[in-house]
Amino acid sequence: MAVQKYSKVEPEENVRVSVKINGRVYAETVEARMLLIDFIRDVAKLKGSKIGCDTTSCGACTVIVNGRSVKSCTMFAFEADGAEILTVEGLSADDKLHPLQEAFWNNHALQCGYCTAGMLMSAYYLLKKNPHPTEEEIRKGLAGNICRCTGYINIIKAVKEAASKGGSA
Amino acid sequence: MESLTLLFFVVEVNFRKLFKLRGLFNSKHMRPASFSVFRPLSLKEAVGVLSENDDAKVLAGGQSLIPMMKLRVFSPPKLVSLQRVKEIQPKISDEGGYISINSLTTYEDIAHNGDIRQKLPALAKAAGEVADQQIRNRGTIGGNVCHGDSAANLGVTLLALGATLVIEGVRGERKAGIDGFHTGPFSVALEHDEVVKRFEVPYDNSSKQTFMKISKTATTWPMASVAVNISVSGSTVAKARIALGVAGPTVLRAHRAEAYLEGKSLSADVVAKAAELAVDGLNPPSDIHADSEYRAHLLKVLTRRSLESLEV
Repeated sequence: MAVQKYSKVEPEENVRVSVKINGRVYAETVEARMLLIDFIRDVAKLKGSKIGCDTTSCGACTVIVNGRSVKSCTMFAFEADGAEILTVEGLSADDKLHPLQEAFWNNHALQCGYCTAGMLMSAYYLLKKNPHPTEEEIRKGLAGNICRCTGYINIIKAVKEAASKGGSA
Repeated sequence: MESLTLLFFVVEVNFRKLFKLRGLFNSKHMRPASFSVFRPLSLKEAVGVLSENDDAKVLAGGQSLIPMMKLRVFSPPKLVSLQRVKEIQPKISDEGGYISINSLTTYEDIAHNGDIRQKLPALAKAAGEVADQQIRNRGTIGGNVCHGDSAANLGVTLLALGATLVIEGVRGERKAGIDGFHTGPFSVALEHDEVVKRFEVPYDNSSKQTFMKISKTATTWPMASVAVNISVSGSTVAKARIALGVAGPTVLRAHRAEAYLEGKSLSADVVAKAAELAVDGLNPPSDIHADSEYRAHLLKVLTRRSLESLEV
């Protein structure tokens, strides 16, 4: 059997991270320990995504990485190298709110607003995968997002409205 | 003058206090200690790096490891990220008699896979009930099992399903049954320089199976979980495997209940007796979520409900 040669793998303390966020490329050499949420907020300077609990519980930091919703406080920036990311800033286009944002507005689906960016991204992912969810499916889809104002009823109403208007766009 | 100094003092002290308090909740204190990362492209490179670095820890989906590193419960100086390892990329395939699942396959992939939903419904259910959507999008089957948490949905279910692990190490490939793989709390029978490559999960048409858990909210860790896998012949049980989660230091099999069920049909009395036997002599852990006695009660109820739910 031929002996296969492998390049020696070197440890990296700093990692070059290049990601496309909302269509724009951001590249920076960062510490390996940098979390994706910190890259988004402090390197890309996109402050829409929030840090809530910082313990993988509340979902305020939810963003879409390569088409999947993730908690960006529980992912290293280097793991997103080469990825396409969508944050709340990327939802609206041409100064027009996304149907989900419109529905949140119409239904008073936010009180303090801190959870909103994460709620919107989780709802966005849900409607992408399941454009016509039942109420049960909406509740399950948003289970990873906590609203400490407990404004869940209006949030669910908003997602229903967005779905009825084709909000997965 | 004195009052001005005092004012200055008060302001400064409060400012410091404020700063310190802010510091306490500031992101810096919720960030992992520095580490260096290896990013191998092949399993050979991955196990090579592990064999040369005793202080390196494997990173898969990171949904347990990263929170632990952020809280600094655990601060490995080196990580080996499996993200780019080509042989273990997410993949599910029906190999006839068993389904092969590569170790980086996510809960989400498993929960929605047609073959798994049809042939291993307990596994699809267990994967679909892990934590929440975002965590299911990132967490992996390999990470779930190798983390060795007795509350892990997939660990419990794969034990009931009698999965085989295919493991790669510097000395080559080996296979290991899931029985005996969990050796203690957060401990599994894996050498430091070994990585789980894939899982082979057997199925057969006569198998009736399910997974059930009870947790305080949909997304929190289960207080108790049960997976049952019954092979039926006619109307009687030919073979039974029952696995219990959060029932002891590791995921456990309810051997006595399994043996009792064999050759019997699942009448209400038989199911009730099996549930009693499943928890007889069991000493589940106590923690803030549930005490030992309550947990044993939940395990008994879940065993009964699981068996009742099977359409035999």
